[in-house]
Amino acid sequence: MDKHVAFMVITVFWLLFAIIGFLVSYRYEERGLIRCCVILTAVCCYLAWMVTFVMQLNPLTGPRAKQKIILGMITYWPRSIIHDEKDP
Amino acid sequence: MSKWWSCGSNQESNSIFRSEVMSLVQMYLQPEAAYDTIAALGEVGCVQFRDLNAKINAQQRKFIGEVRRCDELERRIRYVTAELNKEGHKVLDLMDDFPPAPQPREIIDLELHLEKTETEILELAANNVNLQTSYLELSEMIQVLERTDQFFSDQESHNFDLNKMGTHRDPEKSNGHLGFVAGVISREREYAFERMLWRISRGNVFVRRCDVDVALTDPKTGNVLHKSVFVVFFQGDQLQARIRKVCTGFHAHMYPCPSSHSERQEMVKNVRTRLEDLQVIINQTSDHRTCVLQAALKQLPTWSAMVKKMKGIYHTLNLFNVDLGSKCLIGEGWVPKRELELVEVALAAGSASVGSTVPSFINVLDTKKEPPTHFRTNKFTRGFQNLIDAYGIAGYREVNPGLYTCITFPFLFAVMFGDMGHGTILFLLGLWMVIDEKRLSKKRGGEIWNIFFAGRYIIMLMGLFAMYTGFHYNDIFSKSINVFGTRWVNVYNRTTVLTNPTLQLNPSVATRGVYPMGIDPIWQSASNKIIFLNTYKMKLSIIFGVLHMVFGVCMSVENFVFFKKYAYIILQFVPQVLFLLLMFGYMCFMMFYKWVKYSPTTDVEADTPGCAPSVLIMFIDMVLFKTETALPGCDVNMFPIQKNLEMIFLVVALLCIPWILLGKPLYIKYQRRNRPAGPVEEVDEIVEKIEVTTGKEIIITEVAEAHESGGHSEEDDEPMSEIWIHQAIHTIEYILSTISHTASYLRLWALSLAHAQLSEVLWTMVLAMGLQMNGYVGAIGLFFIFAVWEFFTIAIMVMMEGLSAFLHTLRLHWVEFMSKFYVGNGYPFTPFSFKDILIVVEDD
Repeated sequence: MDKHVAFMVITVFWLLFAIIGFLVSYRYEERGLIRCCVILTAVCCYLAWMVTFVMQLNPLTGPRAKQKIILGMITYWPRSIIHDEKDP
Repeated sequence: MSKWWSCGSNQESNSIFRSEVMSLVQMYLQPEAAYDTIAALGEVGCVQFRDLNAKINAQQRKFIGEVRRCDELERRIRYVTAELNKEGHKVLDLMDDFPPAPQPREIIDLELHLEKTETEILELAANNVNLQTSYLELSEMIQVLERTDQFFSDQESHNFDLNKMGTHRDPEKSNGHLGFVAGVISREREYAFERMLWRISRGNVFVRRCDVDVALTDPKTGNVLHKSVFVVFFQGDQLQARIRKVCTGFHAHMYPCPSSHSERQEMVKNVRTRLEDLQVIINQTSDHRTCVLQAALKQLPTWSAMVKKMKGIYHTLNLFNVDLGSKCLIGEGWVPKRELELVEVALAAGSASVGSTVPSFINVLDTKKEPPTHFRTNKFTRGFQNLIDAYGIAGYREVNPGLYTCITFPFLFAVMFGDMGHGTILFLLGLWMVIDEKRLSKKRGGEIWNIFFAGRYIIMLMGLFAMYTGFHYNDIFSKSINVFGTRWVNVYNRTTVLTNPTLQLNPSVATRGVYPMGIDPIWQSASNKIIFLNTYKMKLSIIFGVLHMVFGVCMSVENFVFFKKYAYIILQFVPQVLFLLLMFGYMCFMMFYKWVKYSPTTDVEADTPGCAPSVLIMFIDMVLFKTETALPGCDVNMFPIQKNLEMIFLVVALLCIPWILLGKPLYIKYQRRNRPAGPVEEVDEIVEKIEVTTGKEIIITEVAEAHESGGHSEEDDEPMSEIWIHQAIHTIEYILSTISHTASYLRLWALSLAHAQLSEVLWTMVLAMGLQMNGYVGAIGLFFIFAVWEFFTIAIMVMMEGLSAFLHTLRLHWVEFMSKFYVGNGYPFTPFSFKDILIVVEDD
């Protein structure tokens, strides 16, 4: 569920960035230049984000970590816990 | 290329998408107003004059005399500048606030002033040489008188009774008594000198020598001289004459030297007095010279600017045609259309300044000549436009890639350089140069600094985007930050964790959603990080590369539409973009589809990670018509109609090749066959009848110069065989370059990988060592180790890696992007502008 929220938020952000930048550019003399820079920035940054996001949507492989790293995860990252149940 | 100070009008939107519309204007200047008019145009800086006297050599032009006078003035200014440099004063050229161009009559005063200053300095220099020569001689005499004491104590005093004044004059005859000659000789000559004396006297002379310890100075060159004092003892008058000749031949200076001690002391006293008097005179001369130079120092930059302006004006006037019949000067020049009004104002001002009753005017000509290319850049776009112009100047009104380079360049740099820490350093450097640009623009830092300062906006944007991509790579000095909370959890139990040195998390059970922005921070600590990031960055590179190239091909449509070659949209653009999209656009689609389709949590066995095919292998199979053997439970296709679709794509892509090859030549052939009968002989001839207020008619005939380009479209004149050959070359180049350029974009991944690994090595080998030290000694050690780490971070990671990424980004733009649409066969607009003449780059 939160993946959809993240996708929506970032998409709307860059869309608004482009639209607002487009509108703001009309107040300036170099509106062609500003408009081009704003839209290109939005497209490039959104594309970089989207590739990174989609790439991690369905990871095909997991990270291989040393025991020290696993213990660090258990200690510092609250989602990771140590338990005595069977491994899934 | 325009300069930031160029005046502009507000008629059109300021954009560098295309070059400015240019007009060829013909100017008619009244001779009395010509100088002031050209001066006004030089201040405005928006006219590029054509040379109407190309066939006349430089020595025969009308204003060559005035140019020579300016040359002489410049020579004098350079001479005075050189003299000031000797005194240690640096003459700095003006950087702003230039004086106006002088009137010709004002130059007479300047000429007199400079001549007087130069003459005075030359006289002072000559006097100084004379004074220094006298000073040197007296200094040498002092040395002779003082150092000969030890020589005479070795001899019997009675031998000199009859020769009290030495033998540099005619001595009295005295048999059996020793004579002597004393003087100074260069140290490098003394051995040859001694050997010669020994030879001519057959061993009958006695030479004593002593080094001069005091530093002596050559009056002419100012070099330090090393000399020796010598005394030659001999017997007889014949030897005396020979010895004196040898002394003269070896450039030894002979000095009078009394033999008695008391007389030498008195002479030393006299010479010292004369030396002191001479030193006073030398100091006064030096002070006077300093005063003269100081008086010139303050005005020299102004004079230099004035003379350069005047010389530029006369050089420009030499490009004009002189119509002796009607007493006017006729010139031609390129002017941006938006600035025609400025030119008219300048002409009116020039006429008004001399009170001319006959106005100078311009006439806008229609011409088929190719105008120069002029972009009205500002301080932001100038750096990016310089990058494009270094590759080639855009043709007139051709689409300018500089506009899109403003963002694509720093962004592609950031894909390679992605690191939040190093990006921040780069951003702060650019930001400092941008915020402080008013002060820094007056700084004279040399050529390298000027290059960096001109690119300050590029540097700032590169840093800013590098921070963005660094955030997505989750890399800050090779460490990650857990901003949104990692989505990977440990699900192994206590026994498994404690008994296994290495564990790999299973994505089907160990994930809790998607990390919202960037790479999950756990990957920075994973031992299979490189494998994971490589697949990600390779795909990122290909996706951006294909989009960049498609964008470039689409730009060619803009050119086709603008130059009204609509047929080429179908014959050139469509097959090109089809080939690119059907082959490599499809590859990008496969990448995205693979990311979405195959999942560790799927219920369909064919969509599990183990069945995920390699995109590259699938692409190769598509081209080679091969079929892979599916693993048990897997499907060989990603989607049902994949094989059929790939077959269609490949066939259409292959059909695009003859489409590109044959389309354009056949179209041109068809066009030529349907052309009106017989070639139209177009002579670029302008016949104008202009009636000036004097009532006299002028008939001006101008025939196009053969060596100038333009006049006709290049294709209209080319034979069909040439067109076929060019199109074949173009087709081969495009098809092959589509493949090689796609591979070329993988450098985005390669440099990113290199940067990340170098950063990690720097961390583990340098700073991590310091962090592992213990105690107070460790704290001190960490202080120094951090300094080393910071130095390497800036010197290697930011400077060297930044330059490397910059050059690779430059190549991606010049070759991969611009080759898709850019011709770049124009020539730059170089207006006659005083600021261009006066602002010079210093090399020191």
